[in-house]
Amino acid sequence: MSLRRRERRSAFRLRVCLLVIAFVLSLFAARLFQLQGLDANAYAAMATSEGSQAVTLHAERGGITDRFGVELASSIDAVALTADPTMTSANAPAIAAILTKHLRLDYFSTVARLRTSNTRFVYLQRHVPVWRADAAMAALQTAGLPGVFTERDPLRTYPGGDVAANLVGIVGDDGSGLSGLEYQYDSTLSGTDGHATYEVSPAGERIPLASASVVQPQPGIGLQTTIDRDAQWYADRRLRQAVLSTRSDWGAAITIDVSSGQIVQFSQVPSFDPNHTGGALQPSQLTINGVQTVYEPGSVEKVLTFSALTDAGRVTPRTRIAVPPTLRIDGHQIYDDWSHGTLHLTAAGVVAKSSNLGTILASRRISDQRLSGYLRSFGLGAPTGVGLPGESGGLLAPPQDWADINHATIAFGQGLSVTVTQMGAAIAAVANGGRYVQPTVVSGYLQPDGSVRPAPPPSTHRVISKHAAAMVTKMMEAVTTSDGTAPLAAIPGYLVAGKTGTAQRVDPITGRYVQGQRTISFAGFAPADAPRFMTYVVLDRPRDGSFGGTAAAPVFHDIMSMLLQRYGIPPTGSKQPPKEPLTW
Amino acid sequence: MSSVIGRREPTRGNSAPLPARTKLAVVPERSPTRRSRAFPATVMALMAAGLVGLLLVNIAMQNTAFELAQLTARADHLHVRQQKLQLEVDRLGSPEHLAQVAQAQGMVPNLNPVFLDLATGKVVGTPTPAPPGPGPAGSTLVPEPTPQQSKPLTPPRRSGPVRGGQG
Repeated sequence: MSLRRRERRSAFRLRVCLLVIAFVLSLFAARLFQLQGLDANAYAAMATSEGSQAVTLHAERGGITDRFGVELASSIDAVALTADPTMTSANAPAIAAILTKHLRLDYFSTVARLRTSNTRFVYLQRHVPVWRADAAMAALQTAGLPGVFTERDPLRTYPGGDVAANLVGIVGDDGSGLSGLEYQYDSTLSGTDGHATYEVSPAGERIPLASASVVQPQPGIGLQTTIDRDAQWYADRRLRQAVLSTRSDWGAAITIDVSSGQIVQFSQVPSFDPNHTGGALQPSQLTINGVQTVYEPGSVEKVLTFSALTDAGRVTPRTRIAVPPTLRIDGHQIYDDWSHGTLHLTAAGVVAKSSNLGTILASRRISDQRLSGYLRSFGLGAPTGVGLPGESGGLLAPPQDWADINHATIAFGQGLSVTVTQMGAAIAAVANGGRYVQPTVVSGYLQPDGSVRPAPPPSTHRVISKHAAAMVTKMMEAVTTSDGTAPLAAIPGYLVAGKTGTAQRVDPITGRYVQGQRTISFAGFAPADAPRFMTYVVLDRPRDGSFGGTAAAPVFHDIMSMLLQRYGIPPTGSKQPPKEPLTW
Repeated sequence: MSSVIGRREPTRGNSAPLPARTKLAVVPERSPTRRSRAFPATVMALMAAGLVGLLLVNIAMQNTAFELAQLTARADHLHVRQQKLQLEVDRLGSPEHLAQVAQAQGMVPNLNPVFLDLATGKVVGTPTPAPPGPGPAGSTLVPEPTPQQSKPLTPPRRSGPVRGGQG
């Protein structure tokens, strides 16, 4: 009897237990449903924010190299040194002494910063290379001085210093480009930041084997420029010497590879050292005079006028022009720069002597529309699209607005404004047998895998015939002879074609010419019978009475000689051709 | 009692001899305690082995993680060192520095390009001795201070007739 009762009781207990278990399990199931089904997103978000830490992985900024791959701008790992003054004010002198020793900081201002009141964050020094910061931090740790921290703060270095500084540009404290190529190609150079998410313990330590998700940063694309760093350096120094000795406001020199339109050097004075901007930026540091500053080109423009005249079949180098002592046009009395009676000059003579009156008389053989059309085809009056920021298009009035005086002055390079790049590209077109090639400064994009994606080829079009270009070159050869305006530009053994320019300067405020202020220049190419490079030198407002032939031509000579040697361009060996007669 | 002592016959009798009876014996009980201990012991052993194995794998992975961290730090250090040395190389290889060293050794720039044709031995160009000392461009090799920012333009006293463009 008792056995049966015991069996009944245990079966009862079993059922009760099952019920209890089922009840508990159903509670679990309900809770699970609530967590997973109803509040899943909220809890997942909470878990992510509590148990993980997101870190930005900064993309490395692409470098800028010259045509041979030499770095003009690159990024290195650097940090900002920061301090919490509430922790450092007590030990400020000791900390400052260590930092002064390792980082060349100013002792007294560092002490003052370490004692800044009412803040828990101050910058001590920004853009400190990692190896220097590490040494300083190690010394602080050894001395047991807390309160100084580091945070990532990449440093952009320019190994060439002030070489091509205005062209390459600078980046700001936040790492974005502020001027030059750094600004123009900022989105290409900067790349895309990545991010990493790690699981962390409640104390904030990363859990070593816990899952982590990482989105790798996309490094920036580098730029390969057409600049030759060494030629650029030489031109920079030579130009600086000329600007200092003539006490000019500014100077610029551009060298273009005539067949490709590539700018080999683009020097400018004043320049600056982008590694030591000192925090304060001068307007000159952000200006690229070669594309942003306009001026009246003066006689160099006569090359374009005579290109138009020869291409239109109105003039040959031997065309006879009787040049009077003066001309009166629309009430303006116009002279040549030297006093003379009636001259009997050929067209080549007009170019060699740079006669304004001869040019005016010759230019009357084509219409306003025709001359304007040629000048626009040479790239005047519109930006060249060289790929530099803030490029100006210069000023060239539409031909329907021209009076006789405009036609006359534009023919000899006054009454229109150009940039150094525009004028250089136009002369390079004559050197290139009459074919204009858009000037370029970026030749390719450096991919992160090390390959180079070439930039699209520059646009090109014919301006004047090959025959006309050859005739104009003949006229320009006479300029660098002893009878011309620039014998100093001649390079022994080479045929050098060139043209001087000495233009009156316009006051930008009054818009009127200023007596005694000039913009002087020289443009030329060599070897004249097989041109490789065109170099154009401009000096603005020299204060020592210099002319294009006396101050700009020697700069051209030195830069061109250096380039001919550097690129192994021997003289073509052709005999000096029979000189075109300059008079009749 | 009767005189005949008879054998007691089986009830369903015939005279055939009976087969020997199967002897019944108590089957020795298989020890339930020993069997129930062996199974959990095996399971425990397996679990222990698994745990120890897991622990070993974990330790190995941790060690690898530490090694990884060390090597990463070393790679970072070497990367920084490489950058530092690269900066030094850039400085020493810069045209500015090379020009200073060359000039210190008494070298002067040659401003007259002349070429020697190795095939014919002919000199192409006009050889001219470079001037001793810093030549026209020689003095430019020494860094000079960058000129000051241009001053604002002074208003003109008077403007003259159009008279420019001399070359």
